[in-house]
Amino acid sequence: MSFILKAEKLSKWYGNILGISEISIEIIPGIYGLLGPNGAGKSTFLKIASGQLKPNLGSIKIFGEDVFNNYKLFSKVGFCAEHDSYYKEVSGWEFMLFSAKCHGFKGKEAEQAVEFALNKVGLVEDKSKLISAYSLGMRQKLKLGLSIIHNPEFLILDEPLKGIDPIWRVKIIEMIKEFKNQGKTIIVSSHILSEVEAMTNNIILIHQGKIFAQGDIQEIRDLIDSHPHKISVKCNKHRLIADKMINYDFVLNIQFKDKENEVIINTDNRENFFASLMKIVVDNNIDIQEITSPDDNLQAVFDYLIGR
Amino acid sequence: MIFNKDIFDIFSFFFKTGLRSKRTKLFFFFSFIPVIILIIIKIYEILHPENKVSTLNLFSNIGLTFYFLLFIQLLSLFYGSSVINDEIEDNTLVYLTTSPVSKSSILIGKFMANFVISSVIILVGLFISYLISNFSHFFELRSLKEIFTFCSIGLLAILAYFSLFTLIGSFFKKSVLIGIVFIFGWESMVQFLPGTTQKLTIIHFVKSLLPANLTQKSGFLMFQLKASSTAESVITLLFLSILFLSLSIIIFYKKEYILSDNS
Repeated sequence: MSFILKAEKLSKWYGNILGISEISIEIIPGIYGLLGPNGAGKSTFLKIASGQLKPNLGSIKIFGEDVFNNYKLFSKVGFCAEHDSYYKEVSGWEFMLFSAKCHGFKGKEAEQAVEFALNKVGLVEDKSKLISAYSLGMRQKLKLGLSIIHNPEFLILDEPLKGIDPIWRVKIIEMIKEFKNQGKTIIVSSHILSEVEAMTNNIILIHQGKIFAQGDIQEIRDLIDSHPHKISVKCNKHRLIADKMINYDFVLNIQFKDKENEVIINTDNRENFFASLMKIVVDNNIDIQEITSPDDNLQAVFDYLIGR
Repeated sequence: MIFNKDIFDIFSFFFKTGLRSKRTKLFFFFSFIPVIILIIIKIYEILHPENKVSTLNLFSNIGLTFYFLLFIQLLSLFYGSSVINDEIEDNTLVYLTTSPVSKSSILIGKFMANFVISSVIILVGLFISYLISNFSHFFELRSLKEIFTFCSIGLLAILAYFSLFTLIGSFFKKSVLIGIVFIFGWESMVQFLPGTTQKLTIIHFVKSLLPANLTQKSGFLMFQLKASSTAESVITLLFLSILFLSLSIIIFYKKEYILSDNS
């Protein structure tokens, strides 16, 4: 079987600092969510995959070819970098036109490619503005536009939704799914679980430079659900909720923050907890202000999975 | 042909951005400092003909010293080292290296853009300075030949320094600091040493090309024991330019540039 990307025992370190360690992965067409907390090694992996860095050990091939210094490969690969960088003296249109020309487009063809990409990311109206006048979200859209301008077969997106407004987040997620439906391959990195969940079920968990888990997101969710969870409830009768909840086996402990009308409950069964909470709320006519789960983030996932 | 198109595209983009940059506006302003001084002196010369002030002498004293001993080096340093260094510091290198364009095309295209901009800045100032100094007989064949010579030497000097600083910029992060040490340390210091050690500087070959009557008037070559021949100087400067530029391409091709961001 021919893989779009194949990495074998890929390792990279910066002096004494480990970037990634012995990452082996094989990717076929589809969307892959590369998940990990900040500093986990996601960007290092993607930089190697996009030819920005050379691995210290191991190998990586895209479409069966080496990546570093293989510039011709980038006619088929699009890369959206994480960092917010741009040329200050040019407009969005000029920058994209330059990129289109670098990808081999000429004259009208280049202009059409730019229009296509600007349309996809919603920057048509602001195309003539200097990039220095763009907001963070607009610059992020511009980077995304640059990565798709040549309609690549393989798209590498490092934190692509950072700074983008909620409406365009949905549109960009749809665009990524559309690319997948066209048979393309997309790797999306993020440290926000829900963001990746909206795009794909296929995830790669990376932690401390290693692939920690790989597979269906639901399996990861199930693992999370079986571990103790903190749930915070803010309401007008937070002590009443605590009073009712204390009798249940699945409640491990309870803390109060009276100033904020908040109760924090530790449970080892989220499903039963929420069913009981709803019953208490309805029976006692409680006005809920907010329910949050401070643990429902990626760092918590890793903490659970590695048994901290 | 694709190789040429890539270089042209890179050149056009960076020429445009370079012209619009604050750095270019600032250096254009500085390049006119001798012009302003010469205009003031010229006016004084016209108003007070009894005083022995000659703008022609001042051109060799101020103009040549300013352009050939300071401005060409500094401009080449800031524009030459920025060919690669700016892309690393601004984290924009990624846009170039993830395009299907070879690294040699990127470097040559941007090198040419910066080289043309800095050459224009210097040559315009040099030309106007000379024009003011030789206003009465500017269109004489001798004057035209002389300014053509100055401009050609200026271009050759820019090329040599530019290539060197591009090389330094492609290798070191603190390239400007290293360049300043080179200009004000090495290039200045070695001129005072006896023997052939002067040939270890670029300025020796640049000075050797300048007309002796003008340079000696200004004490421009006072520490130089013997000027190299024109042929030797031209060949050396061209050879050094090609060598430094080739090494820059090799380093840019081989070196891994780590951009600063969260991993």
